[in-house]
Amino acid sequence: MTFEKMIEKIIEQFVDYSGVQITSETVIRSIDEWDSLTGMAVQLMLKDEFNAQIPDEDFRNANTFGDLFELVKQYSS
Amino acid sequence: MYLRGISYYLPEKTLSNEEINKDFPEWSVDKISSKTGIYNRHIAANDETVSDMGVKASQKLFNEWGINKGEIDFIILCTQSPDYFLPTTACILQSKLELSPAIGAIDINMGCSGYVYGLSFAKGLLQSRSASNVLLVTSEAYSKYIHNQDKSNRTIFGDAATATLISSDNINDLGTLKDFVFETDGSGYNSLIVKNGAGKHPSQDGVDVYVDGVFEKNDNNLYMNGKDIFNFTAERVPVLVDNLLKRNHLTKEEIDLFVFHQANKYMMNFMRKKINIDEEKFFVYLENVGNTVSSTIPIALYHANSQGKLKGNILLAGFGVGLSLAGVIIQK
Repeated sequence: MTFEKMIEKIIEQFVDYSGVQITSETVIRSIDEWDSLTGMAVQLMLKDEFNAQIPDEDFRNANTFGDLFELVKQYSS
Repeated sequence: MYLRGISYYLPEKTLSNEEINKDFPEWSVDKISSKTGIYNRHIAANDETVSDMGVKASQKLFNEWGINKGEIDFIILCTQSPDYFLPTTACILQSKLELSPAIGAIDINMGCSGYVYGLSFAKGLLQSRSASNVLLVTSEAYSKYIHNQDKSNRTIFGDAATATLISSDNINDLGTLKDFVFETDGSGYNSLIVKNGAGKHPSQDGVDVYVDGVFEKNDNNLYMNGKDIFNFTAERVPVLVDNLLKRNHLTKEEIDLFVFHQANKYMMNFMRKKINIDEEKFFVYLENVGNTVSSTIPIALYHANSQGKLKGNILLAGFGVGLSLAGVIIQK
C-alpha cells in the first residue's frame, strides 16, 4: 500500500473532484469536498480496502493526509 | 400476490435548498444538491396529519389505476408519526375513505424498511386467504419531529404518503411478490430516535444541545446519529442483498433493477459501488422529494414504472431506524 494508492481511493469518495493535487502536507479539512459524510465514507473505505480500522478519535485528530497515511499503516498491521 | 397499482401524494408546502441556505449560510445550494441529490422536499402543513396524507394518496391510487374501493378488504398503514398514540390511524383511514366496515385495519410502526414489511404482511394476508385486496399505505411526517436548527435532518427528510394495492388478481400487474428477508439490530435503537414523549421518557423536557456552536440534538425531537446509520448500512445492506439473492435462487447479474431506500445520493452511491451494481440498474429518485422514510421505495417504483423500467427481476431493499433491514424480489 502506497500513499498514492490511498489518495486515489480517497478521491473516489469525493463527488467530481477537480481540486489541487493532494500531498502528505495537505490539510484534510482544507479540501472543499471534505465534510462529515465524506469522512464517514473514507473511514469505511480504509477499513474495506486497506483493512485499517481507525478509531473515531484518531481519525478526527488526523490533520494532514500524511497523518492519515500513518494511521492506516498503524492500524492495518 | 400482485402489485396492482402505486400512487403517491406530496404536501403542497415545499422546502428548497435556497431556503435551507438562508437558515444555514455555511451550506451552499450546490453543495447540498451535489451531496444529497436533493433539490426540494415537501413538508406537511401544521394542520395536516398522516391520515390526511394517506387519504390523498389512496384517492390518487383509486383514480389513477381505476380501482373500485369496494374491493378493498384490509388496510395496512405504515407510519411512525401517527395522528394519535391511540386509536390506530388505519381505523381513521377506513372512515375517511368511506371503506366497507367489513375490513381489517392495522398500523405498523416501522421506518425506512416499512414498505417491504407492509408488502410481506399483505402477502401473508392474501396467502392465508384473510384478504383479497390489501391497501398498503405509507405516510410519514417526520418534519413534525425535526428541530428547526437541525441542519442535517431538515436537509435530508421530506414528508409524503403512498398507496399500493396488493391483490390476488393480476389486473394492471406491476409485478409479483417473491421471497422476503429481514434483519434486525435493536441494540442500535438510539441511533435514530425521538426519545421523549412516549412511555420511557414521558416528559417533553428536552433542551437544545450545541457542540462547538452547532446544534446537536434536543431529546424532544428526531435525533439521528448519521455515522452509526452509515456504518450499519454499509456493513449490513450488502449482506442483505446476498441473502435475498440466495433466498430467491438468483444471481446479482439476473437482477434488472435495484430499488433501494432513497436515503441520500451520496450514501446510495457508496453502497452501489461497494456492492458493485451498474449505475443504469440502480434507480435513484430523490430530487424533488428527499428521504421520505417508508415512502421512498414506492415513490421510486412509481417513477421506475413510468419510465418503463419495471421489468424482469426487481430487488427492493429498505434499511434504517430500528435498526432494521428488509428486502424482497418483485418479478415482472
